[in-house]
Amino acid sequence: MIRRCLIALALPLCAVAQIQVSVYSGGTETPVTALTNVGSAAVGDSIETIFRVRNMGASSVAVQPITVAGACFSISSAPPYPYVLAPANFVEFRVLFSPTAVASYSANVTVDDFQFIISASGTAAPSLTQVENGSAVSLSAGNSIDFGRILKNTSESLQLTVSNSTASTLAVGRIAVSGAGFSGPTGITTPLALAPANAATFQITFAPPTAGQYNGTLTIDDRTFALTGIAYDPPFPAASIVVDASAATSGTQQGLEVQLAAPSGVSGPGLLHMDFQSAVPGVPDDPAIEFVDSGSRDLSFTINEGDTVAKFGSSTDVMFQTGTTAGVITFTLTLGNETAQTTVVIAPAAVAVATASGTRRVSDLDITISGFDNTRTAGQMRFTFWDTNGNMVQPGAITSDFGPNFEQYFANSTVGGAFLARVTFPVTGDASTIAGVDVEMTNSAGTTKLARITF
Amino acid sequence: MKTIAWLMLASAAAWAQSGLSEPQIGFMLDAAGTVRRVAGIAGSLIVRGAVAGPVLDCAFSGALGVAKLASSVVVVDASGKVVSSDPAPAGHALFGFSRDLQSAVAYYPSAGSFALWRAGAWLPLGLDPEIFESRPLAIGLTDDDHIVAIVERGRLRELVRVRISDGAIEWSEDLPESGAVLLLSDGSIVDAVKGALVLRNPQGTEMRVELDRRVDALLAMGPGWVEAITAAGPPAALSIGAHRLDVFSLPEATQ
Repeated sequence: MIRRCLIALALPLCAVAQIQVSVYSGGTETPVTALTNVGSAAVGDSIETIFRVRNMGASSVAVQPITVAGACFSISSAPPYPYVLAPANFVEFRVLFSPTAVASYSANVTVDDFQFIISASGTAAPSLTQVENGSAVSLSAGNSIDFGRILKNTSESLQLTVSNSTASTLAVGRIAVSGAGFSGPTGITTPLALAPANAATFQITFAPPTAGQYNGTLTIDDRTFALTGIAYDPPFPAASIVVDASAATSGTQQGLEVQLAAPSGVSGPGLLHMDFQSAVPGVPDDPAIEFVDSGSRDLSFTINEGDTVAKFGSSTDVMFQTGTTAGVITFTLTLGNETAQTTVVIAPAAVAVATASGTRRVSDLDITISGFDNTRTAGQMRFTFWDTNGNMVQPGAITSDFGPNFEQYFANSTVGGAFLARVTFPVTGDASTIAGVDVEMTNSAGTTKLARITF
Repeated sequence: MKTIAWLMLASAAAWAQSGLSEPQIGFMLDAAGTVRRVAGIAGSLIVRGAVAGPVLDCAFSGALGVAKLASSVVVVDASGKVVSSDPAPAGHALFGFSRDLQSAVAYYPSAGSFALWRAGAWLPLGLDPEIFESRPLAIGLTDDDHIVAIVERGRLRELVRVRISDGAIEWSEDLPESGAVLLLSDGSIVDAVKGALVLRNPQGTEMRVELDRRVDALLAMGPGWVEAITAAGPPAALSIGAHRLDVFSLPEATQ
């Protein structure tokens, strides 16, 4: 074989015309010689050599099919032919060497008129196999051993076998695993001597602590195998919104919690959203219905690994306002792929009074009442005045319908059903004899009797 | 024979002299130092847009408001409209109101000076800066000729009444130790103690309400309302009723 190569030795020199072929490795082009050694590989493994064809001339060259003729050599990558190579440009092709026996090998390479010989040797090494889905898969150096996708904080072990299929005893000096998330080997001690037809098994383990892509290396003497694996976060546990719906009435601030069915195995953000469906005709919304912490109907929160309840800043509960309009508040929780929803019904209620006061002037009595009407139907008011002796001032209760006034007010109000009513009663005579007044306010949900207002 | 009062029974006529309006809580100071109007009622608070800022300190009586900016003091009316802006000593200020809510007193710690807002203008008060021997924590105006202040002496606190005309201390009274403190226009004192806000009225009766956040400052928001600026979480609003105190959280401003 070598003799044939020597005969061909003169050919490359005369074919140099325009192209130059180099071995490309580590960013360097090394021109081939008539006999170029490309290294060695263990039986069962492969090595790939990158060649570059460069146009050294002043005009374009059409590169014709490249050939590699020789046992255990093959072209693993080639350009489309004919490949037109402009001056100074290059094109690559790759040659794979896969020895099947411990021996020396060579092959003739032809690039247009340019010919040279490549040589390589097959060496003895234990073969590596992995049991996958019940069948053994042979692994060559450089192959990848994939652990697939597993949940973080769990582990997956693979069993590998080194075996000797040669007629001589093989020494295995070192088996090592490197890379975050990978460990091993276990079940084997090196160095060891593998007699012909013998094998030894060992395990390597993938135990990722966090989600992400993992890469490692299994080294057996001077051969390396890639280790790969992906770890993913577990889903969030089922989440629920906990709110005391029975206590939800208008004009209150209520607490709410987001609870998880189990400690979370993952950290991440979540979102709470409020919607309000008004039960009052013509009243689409109420601006006071919102989360206190955000001043809006959206509120972000975080779940940390191990949490069983959501954190809103440093607190585990969040306040929201129920507003002053009857209707239904719907809370929607979004946490990863988890969603949960709960509703709070704000029932129509009689007028609620926050403050009430009376002021006596020389000839007027002023009554000021603040409160809210979550039905927006307030109208009838009833005033009963009492003198300083505890007697009802004649003619007794004064009833009037202020419905149109409330209706007009609520139509333009920007504070929901809240109101501040000031009523002035002109008085003839000695106003100082009037000590107080009882007030009743009526809406569609009932009548509210205020505590006596004193002047 | 005593005259009997007659009410005008035409209620509609009575209503015509009166009316309905949106209830106002007062004004608050947010975390960014912006003064904002607060409307609504207890438990249904609506925080409006910015009125002024950046503000170091502020107080509102319901009839007028005062705000200390970096080197000026601004007076606003009940609607938040600016009626006066005057130079003032740099830094923080303490404010208090008269019982009729129409006058205000200011104390500027950086200069140790006092000023009185009356009839639309600030009047410097010629009080000796050392009169209290230590820096006041809260200040109030009892009448045209008297201010009151809460001062700290070591671990003790005193309520001190000073005659404006001659700077004489008329009396002083020991107070329990507390945190942030505020003098209200009616002479009541709001104290932030551990886990609660306490209201002590001039008659000596006390009401308290739980607040499980550390209070850094107390500001008068308006009649019956005090803002508690807390170390964490949204500011709280203390509602002072005749017979009870309630605490609400002031919603975050989004405007």
